[in-house]
Amino acid sequence: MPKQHDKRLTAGGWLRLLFRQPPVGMYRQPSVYITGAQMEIENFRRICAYDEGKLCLELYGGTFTVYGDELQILSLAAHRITLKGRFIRTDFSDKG
Amino acid sequence: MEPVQLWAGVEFSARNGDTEGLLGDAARAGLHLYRISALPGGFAGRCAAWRYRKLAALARRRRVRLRIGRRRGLFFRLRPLFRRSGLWVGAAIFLPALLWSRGLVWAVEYDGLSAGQQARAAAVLREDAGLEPGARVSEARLTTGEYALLKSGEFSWASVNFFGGRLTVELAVAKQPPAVFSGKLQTLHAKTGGTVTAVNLKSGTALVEPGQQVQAGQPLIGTARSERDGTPIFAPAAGSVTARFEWQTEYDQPLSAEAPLLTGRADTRLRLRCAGLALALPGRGGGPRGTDADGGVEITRHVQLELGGLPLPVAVEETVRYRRRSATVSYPDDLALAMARLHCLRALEAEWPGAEIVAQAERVQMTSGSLHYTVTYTLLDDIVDI
Repeated sequence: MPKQHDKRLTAGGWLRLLFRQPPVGMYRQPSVYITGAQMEIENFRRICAYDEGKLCLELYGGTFTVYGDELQILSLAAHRITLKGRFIRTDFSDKG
Repeated sequence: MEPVQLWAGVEFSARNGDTEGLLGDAARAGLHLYRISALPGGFAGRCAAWRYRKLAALARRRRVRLRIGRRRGLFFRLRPLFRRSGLWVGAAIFLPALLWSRGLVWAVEYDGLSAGQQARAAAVLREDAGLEPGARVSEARLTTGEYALLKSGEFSWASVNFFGGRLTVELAVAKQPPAVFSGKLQTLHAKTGGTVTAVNLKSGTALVEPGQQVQAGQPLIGTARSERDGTPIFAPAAGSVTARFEWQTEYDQPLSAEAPLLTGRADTRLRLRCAGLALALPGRGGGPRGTDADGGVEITRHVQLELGGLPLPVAVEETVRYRRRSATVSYPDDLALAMARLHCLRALEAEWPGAEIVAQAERVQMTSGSLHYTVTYTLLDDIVDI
């Protein structure tokens, strides 16, 4: 016989699911998007280093480094950085 | 290019000190930097001009040396103008003057009138009510203008309104009263003798018929009419009797005469009028001099001052006096004959207005110093003496 489900979704449970808080740190999770010669990085904490060949960012929970040539920051906003250039390599390291 | 750079943006360079820290601080402060490129010992970038002060404060904290390379945008193009006090003073004078001049006539609008009617209405308003471009408008002037337009006889209804510098003149052109039939209580007689060609009887009794010869003073339409039983009754006499008749006139045209001739020189006088003030400008030729006794022809024009197609509340009165000088004029024979013909035609129009000329016989006699012209017209016209 098939095993019946013990847990049934009640109306109150459905409402609690609907209005529950998202997981902790969801909005601070770093995101990286690459489109051609542009890269967009969201939710960084601070800029550790920047020159023509490297951009090092401190994220929530690690360090993200982009290596390339002629790197230029097209836009620098509170939580988003848009980078342009020829990207060679990216490194991600946990907090040491 | 970023939209903020179109209005007010700065290009700057940041060197020495903790430049990476400055970038982080700027990002956290939401200063939004653009086009950041690395430089030896720092970076260069762009930001909105109104965020530069906060960026400079952050740079001082990080011991970064910040320098503005270039200012961009419309604001920085206009800023030299903002520093010119004359422009501010001009604006401070111009705006109150503009508001004050809303009580002056900036434009006159005529609804549904021909150019000639507009010109005549404008002349009536200017001369009788003082309403013209640049004049200060009052309720009394508007009322005076309406009455003046009605008194001119050309218009049967007039409305003159003023709002926001625009004088709107609405007029209804007077129509000719319809012809009302009215007969005469006496018998109608012939004004001249001739041959009757048509009788158009409206009331009364026709005493002549087409083809009949009539003499001057002969009865044409009578007031008596008989009923079917022969009883005479009264009926007013009305109608027209068209007859063919001859009319003669003559004229002596001198071959030379003293006449005022234009010299080709003119004097101009300009007068500006605005808000009741009149300013005479120096005209060409030193302005009109002398009086009408000098034989000059004076023509006055009223135009509105315009600046690049924009009408201004200033009326310009331009008076041009064309100088004339008396001299002896010799007329050639053909010109003298044409002048004599014209004179006789004018005499005919004054005596028999609207008569149809069927034929004419001319006789020209040249004497010493004059041309004697005799013409006999054969006419078709109504000969009823009303």
